[in-house]
Amino acid sequence: MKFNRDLWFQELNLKLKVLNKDEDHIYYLIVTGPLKIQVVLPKNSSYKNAINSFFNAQSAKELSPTIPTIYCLDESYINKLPPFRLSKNDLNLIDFESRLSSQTKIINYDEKRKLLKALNTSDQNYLFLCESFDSLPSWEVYSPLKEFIHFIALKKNCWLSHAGSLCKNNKAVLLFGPGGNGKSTTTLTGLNADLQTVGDDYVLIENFNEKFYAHAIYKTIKTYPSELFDLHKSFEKFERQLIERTGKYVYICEEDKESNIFTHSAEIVMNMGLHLNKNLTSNECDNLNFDARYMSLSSIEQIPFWVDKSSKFSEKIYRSLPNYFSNFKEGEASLDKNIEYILNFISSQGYQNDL
Amino acid sequence: MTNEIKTKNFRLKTPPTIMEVIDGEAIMINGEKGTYYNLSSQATLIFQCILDGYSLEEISSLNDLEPDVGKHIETMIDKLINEDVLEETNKVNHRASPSQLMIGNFQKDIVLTIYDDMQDMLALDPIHEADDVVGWPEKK
Repeated sequence: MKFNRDLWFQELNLKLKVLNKDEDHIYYLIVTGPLKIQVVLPKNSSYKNAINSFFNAQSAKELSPTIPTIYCLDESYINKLPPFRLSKNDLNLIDFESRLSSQTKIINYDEKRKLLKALNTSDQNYLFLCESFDSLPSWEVYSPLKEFIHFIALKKNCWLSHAGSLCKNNKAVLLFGPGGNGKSTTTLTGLNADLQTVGDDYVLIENFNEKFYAHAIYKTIKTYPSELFDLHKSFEKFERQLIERTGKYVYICEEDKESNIFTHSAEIVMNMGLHLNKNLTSNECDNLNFDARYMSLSSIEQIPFWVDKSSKFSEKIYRSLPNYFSNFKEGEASLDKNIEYILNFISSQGYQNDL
Repeated sequence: MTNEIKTKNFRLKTPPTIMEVIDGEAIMINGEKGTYYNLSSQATLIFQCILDGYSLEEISSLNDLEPDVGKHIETMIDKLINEDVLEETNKVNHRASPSQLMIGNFQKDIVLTIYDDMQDMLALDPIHEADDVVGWPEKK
């Protein structure tokens, strides 16, 4: 029988709701900026570690029916959920249709990792199903559920952007650029200069009343051990894991007044494009350009769904705020120059302490 | 070629192309090429007229378009045909009334932008390896 996506989602919805009454589950509430998200986990699930990567995840006693809910389940639930039988072609087609926001019922399946993500964006229930939480790749643990956040955010006039960030006095500068162009390193250099951050890799951007705000979604900092500079003492108290694929450490920066690394929210005052200039000729440098595409491309690469909305959001923020492109060379001096520019820019904006 | 384009009717070639209008601007993606297309709001109005079953000749006369503007639109349509976004159709089904065809007469506002910098990300995804018959998970 041909797979009927509408019926499957209907059935999924009913079966997920049954789990709400089951006492074998625990609930979390994640609040950041205007977003509220609930997560449901089996009581003894090892995915609790991933929830700990969120900046602000609190245990909840019960679920609210009006808040989007992500059910994170493992293979022991497969038989409790509607059978999922899709051919390779069907999966490819759904995946492709999900590039644009006209598609509201999204099924993304990663065969290699036996990972199924099902989202009906006109509904409140979302499914993250994997064979085993213990075999998940690092990005599903240290930047968890990012596709889900992406869709939920876009429905709330927000955008989950692949960006670093530096903040002072409730003002934020966002750092854009493809992976390997210094977002994390620049963020870390800024932290070393007593700036704060709302994230070194992902930032939730809110557009409200003609202004843009950056909100922390994850409290992780990814860094090569050699990049810690004077911050080492601040960081050594945090739990850390080595990501073998990249050779980076990821630190879970538990919120405390002493560390002062993260701030929850800040008004965005500038977009900074970063390009780490390794071997470019001067002609090639001249052709580089910081535009809305440069801002959105790495986000789209990370989450290639509802690309139309991601592109439009990035155009909006690019047009609305001052933009600065730093095509910099490797080395401490260049990084310090970037930080100096950011500090001067934020200072020129005056103070705002009432956010 | 231009005379042919002027009098013909076109439709969105889907597959491989999908389309969505956001903030009055049409965005299309060709899944085979992974190419991303953005039409300005004025170009989108014209494009929607075309999808509504109007020929360029009809659009030009209903809107009293300057010859230069008409030529500019022809070039745009020609590009979209070559990109497998539009294809010719014999089915003419006017879905909008002529009063809805009011468009500006400024060439600079009618813009098609083609982006090929996301091809790897946006083309039909070849990663799925689920079994064609049983899908996943296999019955236990």
